[in-house]
Amino acid sequence: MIDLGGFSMSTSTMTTMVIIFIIYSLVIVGLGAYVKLQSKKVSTDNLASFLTGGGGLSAFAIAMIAATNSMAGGTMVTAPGLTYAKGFSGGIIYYAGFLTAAFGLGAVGLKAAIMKQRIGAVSFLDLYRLRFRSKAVVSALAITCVVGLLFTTCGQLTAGAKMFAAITGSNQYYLGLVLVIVITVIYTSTGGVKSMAKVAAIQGVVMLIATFSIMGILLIDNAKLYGSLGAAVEYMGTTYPEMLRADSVFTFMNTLGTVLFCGIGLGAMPFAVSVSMTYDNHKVLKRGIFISCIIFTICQGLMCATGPWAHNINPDLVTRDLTTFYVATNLLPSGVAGIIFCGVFAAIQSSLAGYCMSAAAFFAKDFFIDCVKPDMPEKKQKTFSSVTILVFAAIATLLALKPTDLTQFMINFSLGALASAWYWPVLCGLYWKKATWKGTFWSCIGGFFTYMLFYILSSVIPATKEWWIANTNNTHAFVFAWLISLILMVVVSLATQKDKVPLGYFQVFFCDDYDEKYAKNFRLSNKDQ
Amino acid sequence: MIFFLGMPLWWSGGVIVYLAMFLIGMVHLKKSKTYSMLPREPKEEVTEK
Repeated sequence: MIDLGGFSMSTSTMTTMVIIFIIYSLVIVGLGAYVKLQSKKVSTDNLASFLTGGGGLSAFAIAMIAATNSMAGGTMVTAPGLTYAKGFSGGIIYYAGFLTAAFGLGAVGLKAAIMKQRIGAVSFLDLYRLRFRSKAVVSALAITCVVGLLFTTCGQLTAGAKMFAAITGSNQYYLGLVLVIVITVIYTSTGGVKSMAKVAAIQGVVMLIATFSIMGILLIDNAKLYGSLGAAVEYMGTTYPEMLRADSVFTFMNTLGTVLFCGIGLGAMPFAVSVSMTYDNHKVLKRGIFISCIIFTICQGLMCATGPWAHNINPDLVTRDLTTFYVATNLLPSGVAGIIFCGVFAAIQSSLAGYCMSAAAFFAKDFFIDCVKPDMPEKKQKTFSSVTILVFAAIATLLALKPTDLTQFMINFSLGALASAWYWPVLCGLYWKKATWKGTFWSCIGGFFTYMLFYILSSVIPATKEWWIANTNNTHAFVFAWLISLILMVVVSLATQKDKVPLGYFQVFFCDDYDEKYAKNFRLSNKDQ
Repeated sequence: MIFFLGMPLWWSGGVIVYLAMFLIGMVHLKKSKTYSMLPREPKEEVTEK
């Protein structure tokens, strides 16, 4: 038996889980190779096809990419762990992200897709290149994206590797690290968005099976143990009252900030808006949003509620993040435990794939190829994007070599900074006609750095942390950074109206009638800022 | 603590509000206009009376 702190797992269960994980890994790597071979047979094996899938992805593929990108290790591991320790309130707060796909794709999807057709855009930032005619804006968005996603990737990698080491009982942290990143990089860098779509479909199904199995067995076992679910809740309320309290995790202002961050902040993230480049049919988009929201609602909603039910059966887990694995290995058959094991890694890998693709699109294509080396031959551009994915993954792996206990803090820190930097530039850039390149640039930079500053003040330095809690009612750092980013966008844009783009480009972005020569000539020259 | 549908009222109420928002959002999505996504909207033909 392998002791995992408060629960144990038999060697045969572990062997079964590892065998199923190997089969799952071979299937997704094989799919990546298959997509690569297929794309070589057709003439459209270029950068546009790599980054957008040629624009013709199905509703199911769009839904799976959007849903699995959003559901990282937090959904399958951290959220059950948090609710195991603190009760139902943490779950219901994080569940606020259930309409993220609808908000993200609904807000930017239609306009981005029409603009993509008008100008032949390959990545989301192509739209901003036309909108603001500014290298500064494109570079600021691209660099904040890569820096933010690098730390997020590192956090996800660390969480995945720690899980692997703990569950296999082998302390093989580095093997776990290599397995998580190598598999993801192989299928992402070989087939691009097309292989991501195929793999995401498998990952989504695996995660759904895992979610239903875990919630199902927890409710059945609670009913068996206490006589009924009502009696189980009554026992929870008597023995562990904080499990049922609404204020067991956050203050009101902290809750408000977390809900804002999860509910709308994540909708404008680079990996979320990148999905808007993968379709060219509004019906497909609407169906994609519909499926994505249902899958996210089921997985996120149910997994967020599993912790207290698991706590009712075994309150002695030493590592709360192993809640999902406790249920998988002790309450379910070993075959199902293997699928859940794959489900957890699928959640982490699918998010990593989204981050890697965003790094390839925004850093390689938008920053380096378009702003620094615009004369790079088209064949080299795709190779350069694949190499960027490898380098990005290698740096994240190097950062993850020395694991920290503050993994979730790192994830929260980087995602919060990214959401603060991107939210208003994305929305105002698309819809506010008075937005200027200076307003967008300062909104992006200001949001990013103020979040970092407020996060350090509110969560890292002990002295300022106390002051923050006492004087701001522990308000989430995102709220302040988000507001400052908005103020910078409005004030700087209104003060710099003389810096508006030439009318021809403006008309391509906002009017039905426009001149084709502006639409097809949106690349930046050396004289642009 | 007040209970509703077997769970604390704040939890059941929160879930009901979320599900209502979800339903409203999905119905709105279903009923919303579907656009062509073409670079230019096709011009409507003017028929002479």
